[in-house]
Amino acid sequence: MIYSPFLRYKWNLGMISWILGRLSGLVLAGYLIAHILTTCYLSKGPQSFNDVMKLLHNPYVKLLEVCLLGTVVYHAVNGFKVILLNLGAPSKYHKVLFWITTLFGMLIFTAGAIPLLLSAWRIL
Amino acid sequence: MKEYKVERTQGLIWSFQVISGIVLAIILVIHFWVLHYSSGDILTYEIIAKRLSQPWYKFIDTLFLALVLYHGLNGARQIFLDFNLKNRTRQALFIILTILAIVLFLLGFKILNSVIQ
Repeated sequence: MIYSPFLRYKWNLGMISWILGRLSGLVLAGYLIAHILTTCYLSKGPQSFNDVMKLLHNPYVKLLEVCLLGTVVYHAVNGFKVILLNLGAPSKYHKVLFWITTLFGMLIFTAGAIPLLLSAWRIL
Repeated sequence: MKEYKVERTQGLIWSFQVISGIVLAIILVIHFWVLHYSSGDILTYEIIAKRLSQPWYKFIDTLFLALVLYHGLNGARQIFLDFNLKNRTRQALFIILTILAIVLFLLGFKILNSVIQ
């Protein structure tokens, strides 16, 4: 057995799902910090907060919000799959669980992205 | 006996991560609904002040903030646990994460309580 740091593994679905789950978690943690620092403007009075909100009232920010929704939905759906596997689902069904939860997640994403895209269209 | 206690603490930390994930998913759906559906996607200081003047809404927001900070920073801790860090580096990093969590929570709590109508 060669314990080389450059060992290459064959990609499989479980690895991709785990890595994307961690990546989405990191992205959401970064967004969280940015969101808290933006909401600081609330404490500085109505005028500055409304100014900041007017700055962010353009369609590009709405598209970024759609991406955020996608990241949140993927992270939640991956977490749900992990919970199912930890509660005793047989691990030979991990691919089935991935596709079922992804389908569910896509439905939720579509339901949530439609009003965001509609309001982006209205702003345009 | 000491090893058992360490494993139980880590197990409790992870269990709370899972529970907070589930509760966060529910609160997030409510948050998204309130923000984007029920008020037509306009966001001004007055609307937010009116929402925050209801004490149950403020309570749910505070709970949301605490749980999401725990879930996110514990997640970051789990990622750092998988790296091959030296003991001192790991300890310092975890202390930084805890301080970040406390500071961000106090900041958010102050903001939530400083919005007056």
